[in-house]
Amino acid sequence: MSFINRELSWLEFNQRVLDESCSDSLPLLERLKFLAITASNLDEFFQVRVGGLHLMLSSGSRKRGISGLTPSQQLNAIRTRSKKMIQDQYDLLNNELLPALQKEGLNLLSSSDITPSQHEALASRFEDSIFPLLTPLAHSEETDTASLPSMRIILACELESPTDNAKRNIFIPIPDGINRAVQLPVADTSNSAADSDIILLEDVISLFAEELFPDEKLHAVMPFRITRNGDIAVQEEDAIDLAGEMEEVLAARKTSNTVRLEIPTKGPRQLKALIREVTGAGSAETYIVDGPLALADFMGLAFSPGYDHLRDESWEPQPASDIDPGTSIFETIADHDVLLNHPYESFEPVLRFVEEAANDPSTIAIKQVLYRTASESRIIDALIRAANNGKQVTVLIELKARFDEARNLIRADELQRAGVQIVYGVKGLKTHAKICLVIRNEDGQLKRYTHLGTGNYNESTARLYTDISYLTSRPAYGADASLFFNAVTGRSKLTRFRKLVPAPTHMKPRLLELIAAEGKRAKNGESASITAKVNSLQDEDIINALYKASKDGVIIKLNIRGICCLKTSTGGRGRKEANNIRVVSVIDRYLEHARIFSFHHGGSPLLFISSADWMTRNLDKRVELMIPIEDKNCRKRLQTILDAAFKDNCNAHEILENGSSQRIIKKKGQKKFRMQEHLQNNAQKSAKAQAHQRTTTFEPHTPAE
Amino acid sequence: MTPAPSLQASIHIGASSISLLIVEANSDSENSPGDFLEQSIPLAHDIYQRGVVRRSTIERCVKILNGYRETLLELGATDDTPIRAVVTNVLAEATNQDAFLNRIRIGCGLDVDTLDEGEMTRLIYLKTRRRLKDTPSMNKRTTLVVHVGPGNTRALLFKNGRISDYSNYRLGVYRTGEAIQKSQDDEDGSVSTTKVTREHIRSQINQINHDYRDAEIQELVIIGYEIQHLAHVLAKPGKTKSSHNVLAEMAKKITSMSEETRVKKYQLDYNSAQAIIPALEINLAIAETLELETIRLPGSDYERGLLLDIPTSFSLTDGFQKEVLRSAISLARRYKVHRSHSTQVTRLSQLLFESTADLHELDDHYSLLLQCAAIVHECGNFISPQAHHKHSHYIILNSEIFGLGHRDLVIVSLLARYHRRSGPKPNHAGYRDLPADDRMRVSKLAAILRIADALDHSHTSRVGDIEVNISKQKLNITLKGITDASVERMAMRSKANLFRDIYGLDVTLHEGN
Repeated sequence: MSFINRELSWLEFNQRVLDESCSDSLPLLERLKFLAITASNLDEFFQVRVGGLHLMLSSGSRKRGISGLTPSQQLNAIRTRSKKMIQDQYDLLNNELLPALQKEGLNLLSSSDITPSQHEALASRFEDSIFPLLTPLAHSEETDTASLPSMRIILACELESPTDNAKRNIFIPIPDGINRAVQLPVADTSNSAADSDIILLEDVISLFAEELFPDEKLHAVMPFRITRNGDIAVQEEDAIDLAGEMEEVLAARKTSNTVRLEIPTKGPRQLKALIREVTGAGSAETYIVDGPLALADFMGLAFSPGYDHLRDESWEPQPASDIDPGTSIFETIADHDVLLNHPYESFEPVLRFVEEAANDPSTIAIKQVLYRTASESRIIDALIRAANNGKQVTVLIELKARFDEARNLIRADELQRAGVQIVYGVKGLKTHAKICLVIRNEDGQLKRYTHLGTGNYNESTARLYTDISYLTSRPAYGADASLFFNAVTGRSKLTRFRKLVPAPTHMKPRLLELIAAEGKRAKNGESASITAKVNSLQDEDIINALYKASKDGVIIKLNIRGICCLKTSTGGRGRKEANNIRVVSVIDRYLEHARIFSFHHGGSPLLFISSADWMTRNLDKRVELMIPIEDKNCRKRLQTILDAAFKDNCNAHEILENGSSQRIIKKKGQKKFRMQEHLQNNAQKSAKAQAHQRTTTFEPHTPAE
Repeated sequence: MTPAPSLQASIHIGASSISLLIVEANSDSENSPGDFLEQSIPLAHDIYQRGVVRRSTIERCVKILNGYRETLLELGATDDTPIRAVVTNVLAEATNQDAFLNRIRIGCGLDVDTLDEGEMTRLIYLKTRRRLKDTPSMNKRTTLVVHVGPGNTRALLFKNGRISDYSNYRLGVYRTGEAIQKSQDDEDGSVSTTKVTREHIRSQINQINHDYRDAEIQELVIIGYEIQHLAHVLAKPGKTKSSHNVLAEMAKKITSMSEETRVKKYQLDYNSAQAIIPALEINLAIAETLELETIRLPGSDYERGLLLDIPTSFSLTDGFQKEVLRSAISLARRYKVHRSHSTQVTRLSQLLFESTADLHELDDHYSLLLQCAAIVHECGNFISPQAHHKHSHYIILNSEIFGLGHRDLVIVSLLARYHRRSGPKPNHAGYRDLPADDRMRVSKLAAILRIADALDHSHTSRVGDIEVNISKQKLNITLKGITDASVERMAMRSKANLFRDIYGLDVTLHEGN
């Protein structure tokens, strides 16, 4: 087999995140956060990937993935691997994290642990703010599984009528929107006033559930959670109104098949049987967990106020050194290209780019692709303001952005009302390119300013994901940006670009060409290398091209955060043709998200940033952009960032030939190098230097000319 | 207040696409091409298959053009922004061409000019001029430039950097492609497309062979919408040199591919994916019949270049006028026209045209037509001096003068027809079919030509400088250096009648000194 299975490779990535939460060098709440991330990752994985495999299975497909496994073989392998992972999650939680938290005074109590005064306080809390939100569902022969919500904890209850001893079952879905962890008043027995006692919401509801049914007795209760298939493809061909259809899909998403059932180890047998029957989950879909369900919710706990000593000290995004906050962003970009490395460098200049354009009298048009925006998006606010100020605003909103559709739809209405021209994506393709074009009329001449990036226009995730932004006024980039928008708005076919390389038409052929060119040079005895940082590597053609290049002698260094279907050779144990390929993965405080490629090109390297991973879905089924970086200073910075991705000996993992990974350990005498810390320190240093310079040279405000 | 951005736009409704080019004023480099938009339409496909433009195609055009208008607005275009929209002359072969143009005028508020034969030739000429710049060898070598268009093929022969011959053939990518499609639908499909194509184009190719086999062509340059799309695979990057073999290989390869593969592999739209085969075959057949191995193929984008020229092609450049006149002279030579008389009449009619500008109010274009007519007016003598004006009429009508469209040629032939004997009459064939405006122009110009001809009645070029002035219902012409103008005066008696009829002026000659 020449490839690692994509799903198993993804699970190995999640394992690396889990390893992070096992690391006792990290502050306690950070470890809890990483654990919550692994759970949340698994949730999405089951909805989409496992859901997709289930769909394939039920449609009778025996199509093998590139690793040669059929859907049912993949599902089996996934189950084995994830069962182990879930076991590890709960071992960690029960044996390490919870006891350690308790030592720090953060107590997660079960309902039997609470004191009478705490019970009293809880009772009134339940009455006031929980009870009104509950909607119990009676179980009968006709109960439709679809009425049980996916991804939410549900309590299964058995009630008994004291008059005739008749039993019946009730389901109580735990409401959304209330904190999972309920704070209790500090127990009188507590050693310290700073302690806090916490009980989980489902335990509170179990405790008082009887009150919902005053005439009956609560016999037994247990929580469970189901996961349904979330990967429902939009049938675009039939769509007349895509927006209309997406709302239907959102509704449909709530009613598809169960792909996972989670139930706790402990629980009354009759309820377990009932749950299995009602959800239709077989043993292959059932996961028995030794502790609280939905660990993703523990993220809230990790962020609860106080306990700062159990968290990392925060790293503040730094102002970019080559942007003067007192000068118009357009003046700055007209003067020189700007490359930003988020979140070490603040996302603020990108927000300013759109916000300034919205108010700037010279701006005549703003065009932007929005994929996932922040909940109180400043970008969308600015676009609405721009439209109100009479600018021509065109926005492509990608409705196919997974799980974020509901939010996107609301804002689409708002934009439309303001007079923004809206395009709901491109038929048959997902528009994933990150591009924003501002056209200004400068004394009768049009000038184009372009922002191109690797990450979404989302100021919240821009504080957590590492991404590259590139701002330029180079006419060729602006002309290409214009062409791009003319194409995605359906006004023109995609014509030849001067600089940008778009997918799905040109990017893959160009990449294959670049990889092959390095191979050719290596064969001729020239030095040849490919260095790339992507989130995932899965495309068969690209992997084969890399194998071939490696065989030809090209030195290939890959930094891949997530899926890697390429089979490495780690010390010659694996595939021979991968001998020159090294793959590392960095899991640290920020989510690695930037895509950067560098081809040695005989000594004058070609450097690119891109919105696309090296996955078939990105290269063949999405509208993406690969952006060459030609400015000297920007290239230098980008190369440094890319180089740093291979120096890490703290948070990096080597990808092994079987797809699993091994943490890279600092060798004796080797200096400690943590990439993210290094980049943060660099950003701080240059921001400080810049600030220093500003305080030593005074710049008077002069009257405008 | 910032001034509105200085923009200029051209729109071309072509055989298989509608394109828009916006040119922006830019301080760095005079004018720089800005946005270029292109969308596919099956215009030529409709016309050659059904003879009409389908309603759905018309509506698609309206939609595309409205999108283009929005793009222009977004860039700050105003009502004053100069926009020139043209449509391929293939449209003239659609029976519903008026409906098409009216719908676009109403649906998009856009006036579209049909590119006539003459302007199309001018555009090809302008393209070729650029080739002369980037391929200096063309200035020395005898080069045939061939443009295989959607409906017609043009051939321009360059010697020493000048046009020495020009011809036009009813041979085109879509004209041929659709005809073949039809004949194949009728047959059982056992005959190869290549064979059918070759058979279909044979007579026109033979004509090309006949016209150019003795021209000692050293180089063949091929241009065209479809073929230039493949330039990057037919020639090395940055180079224009290709060969007959490379083209033949490509034709073979691409014919065996499915349309989908062609679309994907060469980034073609579906119309062009079909049209590329006849385009390759026609170019190949031309190279073969003229036995030319080396072929030059410009790598630039055909459509963009065309759009760049559209705003300027309307006005005639000096160089272009010279090429047109040279072509008329070569026609005159072919029919053994009395050279000095022809030159003299041309000169005199030009002088008269200029000095009566206030009377006729015609522009440069008609000055050019008058000159052409003066050059060739006596070519009918080649057949017989008897009624030679009538022979001139049909000879010109059935010849090519480079840069003149059919309408222009009709006018020139009528001017020759009316240089003597009867003036225009409503029952005269050719004249009677002209629109009223053109009938008027023919009379205005023929009147001037007759006077010029009368002034050289002796065929001795004895009249030198003349002075023209108008007074009291009279056009006074003073013949400088002529002491006795009785010969001219006599000639004028039978020739000045038309001038009097149309301008209301008697022509009076004066001896001058």
